[in-house]
Amino acid sequence: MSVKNESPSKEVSTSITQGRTLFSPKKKARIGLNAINVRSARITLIPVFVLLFVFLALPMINSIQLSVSRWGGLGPLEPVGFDNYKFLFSDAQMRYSSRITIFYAFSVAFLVVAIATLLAAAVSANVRGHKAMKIIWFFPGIAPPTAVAIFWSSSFQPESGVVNVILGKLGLGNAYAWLASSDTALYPVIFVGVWSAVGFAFLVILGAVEQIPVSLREAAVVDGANVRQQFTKITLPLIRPILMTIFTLQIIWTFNGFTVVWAMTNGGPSDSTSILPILAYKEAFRYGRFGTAAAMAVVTGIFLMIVGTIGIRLSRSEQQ
Amino acid sequence: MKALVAKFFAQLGVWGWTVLVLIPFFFIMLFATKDTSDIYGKPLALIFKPNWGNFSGAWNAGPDEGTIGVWFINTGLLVTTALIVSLVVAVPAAYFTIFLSLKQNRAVMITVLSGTVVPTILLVIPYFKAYNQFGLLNKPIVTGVAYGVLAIPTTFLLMNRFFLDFPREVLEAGLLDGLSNSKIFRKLVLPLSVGQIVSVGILTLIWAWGDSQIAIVLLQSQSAQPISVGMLSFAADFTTNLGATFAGLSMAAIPPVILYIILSKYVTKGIALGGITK
Amino acid sequence: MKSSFRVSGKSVVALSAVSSAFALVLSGLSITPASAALGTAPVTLTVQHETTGDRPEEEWHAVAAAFTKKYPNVTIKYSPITNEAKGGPNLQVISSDGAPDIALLPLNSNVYTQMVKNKALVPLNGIFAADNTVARIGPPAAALKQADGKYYATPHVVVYYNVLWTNPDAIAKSKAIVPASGHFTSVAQLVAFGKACKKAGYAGLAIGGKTNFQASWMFDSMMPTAVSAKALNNYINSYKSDVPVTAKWTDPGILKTLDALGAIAKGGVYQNGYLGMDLDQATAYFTAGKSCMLLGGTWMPGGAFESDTKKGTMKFTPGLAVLPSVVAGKKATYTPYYGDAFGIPIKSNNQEWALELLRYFMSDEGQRIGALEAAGNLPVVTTIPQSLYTKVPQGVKDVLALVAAYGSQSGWTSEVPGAYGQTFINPLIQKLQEGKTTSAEIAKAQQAKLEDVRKNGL
Repeated sequence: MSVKNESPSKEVSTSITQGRTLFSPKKKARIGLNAINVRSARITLIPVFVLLFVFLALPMINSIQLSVSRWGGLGPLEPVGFDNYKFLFSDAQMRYSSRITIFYAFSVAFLVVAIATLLAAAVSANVRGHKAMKIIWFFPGIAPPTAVAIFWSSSFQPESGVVNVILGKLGLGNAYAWLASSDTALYPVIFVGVWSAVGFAFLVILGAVEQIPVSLREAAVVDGANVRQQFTKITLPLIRPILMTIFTLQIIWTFNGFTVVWAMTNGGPSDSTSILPILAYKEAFRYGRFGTAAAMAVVTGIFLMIVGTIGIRLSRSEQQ
Repeated sequence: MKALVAKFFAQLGVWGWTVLVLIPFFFIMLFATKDTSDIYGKPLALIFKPNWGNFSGAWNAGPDEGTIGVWFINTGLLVTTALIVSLVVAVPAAYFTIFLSLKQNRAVMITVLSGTVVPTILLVIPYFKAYNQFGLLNKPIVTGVAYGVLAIPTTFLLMNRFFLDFPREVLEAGLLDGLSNSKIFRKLVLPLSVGQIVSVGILTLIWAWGDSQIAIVLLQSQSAQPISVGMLSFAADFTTNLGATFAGLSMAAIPPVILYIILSKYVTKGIALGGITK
Repeated sequence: MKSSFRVSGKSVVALSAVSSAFALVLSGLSITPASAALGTAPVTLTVQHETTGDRPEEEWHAVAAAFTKKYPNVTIKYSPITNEAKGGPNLQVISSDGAPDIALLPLNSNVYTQMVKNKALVPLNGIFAADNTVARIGPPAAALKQADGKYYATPHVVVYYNVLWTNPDAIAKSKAIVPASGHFTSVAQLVAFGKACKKAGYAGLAIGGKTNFQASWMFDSMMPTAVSAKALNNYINSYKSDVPVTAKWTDPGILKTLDALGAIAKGGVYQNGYLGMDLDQATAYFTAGKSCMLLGGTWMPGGAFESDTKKGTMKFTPGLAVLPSVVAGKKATYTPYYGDAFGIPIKSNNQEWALELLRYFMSDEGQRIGALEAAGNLPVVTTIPQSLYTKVPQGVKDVLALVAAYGSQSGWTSEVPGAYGQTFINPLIQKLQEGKTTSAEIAKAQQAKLEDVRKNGL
């Protein structure tokens, strides 16, 4: 899952074959470089795999074990079979949370990719001020998400919040209490999610756009393509694998996103913005039901692995 | 004509987005110096009597004086540990892996890659149990180790890709000069990779600086919290003193932005190079 | 799990150590000065308290100063925790090896439930017996006696919540009517009150609808007016599997109470955006003069009201009112809360000293120096004459006068464990306020929860 997904390995293979032909006369040197380094590779990979095993694989095993137990946060685990899972699939809040988590993740990912692509296209067309904008647009990704979320949640307060004040000055009314209604609370949260993630996606996509050979575009101009046609006919198809990759990643990140939602709404009102990570946190640390929380985490994990796999497949097949 | 219209809208769009990006930073700084009653009364006014007391109010928030300062120190400890762990473990491995066969290199990449899909909530509870068991809660440095390990996959993948493209002539030359393999890595490769390492490190830094999901669980004592978690209780303590809240927000948000402006060359490069794994 | 065996083994050892320590303390207390038994080696005690709320910091600092004067070898450190942490994540802190010597234990939280269930707290029977503490506190302490005959936590202050603070200026301007006795006689009367306020540009009643408690608070005050005393008692105790269920959650009294809560919300009594505001925000809203009333409690006069008056943002002296009754004839009351108690984790390394400190904290002297004088709170012991309540703000004294006149009724959400009570029902009542669920559905869910808890435990 990487920006240059398939291409780097192609480069790799070419560089390695090149190396072979280049260095074959100096066989001695080549053997020296590889043979000893293969051992070094194995040695240096040991800590990588050990740490990943301890910090990723073991916790996953532990979570699965916890998900088939009852545990209040203290004392021994009490095995309960698949009760936690049965509960999850029959629980209305869980169904609701799954639904809004998917909605939240997909809409943030879609908007992020769409806006970032447009911005990248504009910047690559050298709009005025693009050098400064390249830097400025990443500010939201740099500021601590907690601070950002606290600012935005205070701005969405009716009457006194900045957003309402500005709307009021524009004559659009100043009493919108979006965060206070379970029908609308998710939208400001999506907005802030998009606002803070676009900068990163933009830089990645711009990197890809800038790799498109100028000659391709020049050829299109010669063929009489206008700006929009250049974008839809040349730029877009060429960067599609990257868009797919970043869309997939953005879904995964947003799905796991805890900080922004927690700081803005605590999952409320009446659990209307309790996306799965928040529901799991509350389940475990507020209600002391670690078993169901772990079951939620496992279900989420499985879902994300499916999304990830599909995402990788799609971005690959797009390219072939 | 049509092209001009398109250009106009493009210009309008990028300016609009720029304004939207900057507005919160503008208001955070504006409100940080405004009196609470002015924030409620005339929030948009640009001429007002500044209330610098907000900053001392924010500084003295929480249980002890300078709690915000402690949070910064904790964040520093946590992030530094995460950087050291991820770089020291992943960079050498990423380098030497390029000498494996293409097939093996691929296999390693895919294994490492799968680590990036694991949802954080799946990890939080077991981490919590393990850290508690070994008495490691409320220790920012030890929490930093967890962040460091979680950053290893990204660091590894990005560095591995960079090393794959590294000119082999340089390595050959080193070998012909009689340097050992580890010396080639330390004396030749590392100095030439500083830019890339900084870029990748910054990605880890941004993530560890901002995340609260792991820290909220492993660092529960207020004196052990990083700024990302501390700000949560800070906002709750200060709802009646909005000025101080914003002073606190500006203290949390502005330094990283300034740091970023200084290092922006590396950041943009790091991301454009393929920084899309966490 | 392997690890858990080790833990339980450890706690057995610790328990026996504790009981021998007990004997030591007990004998020391009754005959010789405690310090002789405790020694004079330097010792550092860590005390947990909440960062906000009823000024626990001031209370502990004052008690600690007096205590360390008596025992110069003792140093007291503080470990402040947040409101969010105290009811949940703190469980792991106080059960870990890094546990504080004195832990904050909200009695209706999962933290207290689990600590008691796993015998992870030091029994306080010794220090209670030495100072006759249970009798000095009365029923709230007696209620903490566990099945094994032990006490594991002690309340330290009593606060009253469900207090309606009024803004006389706003009420006068909006010509809204508050009954002379302060008691709203019906929901309709409260709704009419809210409408009058709204017409004049004020919100009727400010509440922190976003919090995980305020929506269900009112239930505590209003439900007792709709059910019999016997039924109320059963609602409070029936989650224990050995208590037979005689009152069902689907009974008419409960449905009527929930209907009333829905009608208040629907009647537009609350401020705009209340479900997005926490209690601090609602308080600021009220002190800024934007609402006729605020749903609050006795910690406010010495807290937000005092500081906002000093800052000049609060320009009136609040008065008092009481929530409406659900059924005509009965009167709703203020609700006492003893819930933020303190206890000693079994993982504390200085249990003898922690017991001594807690004993002093709960003595008449400690209660007077700390709760009463330093924090301006109402001490939980009843043995301090009210003539000494000089530091208690006038607003709180007025509440006490009303409690003396009309009595008070302990609240269901404060009495039962949160996982069954407050944390369970609060989001449901928030949904009711939004019109997203019905009284019947909530009653059904709560009844199902009751049966689940009785069958499977908490």
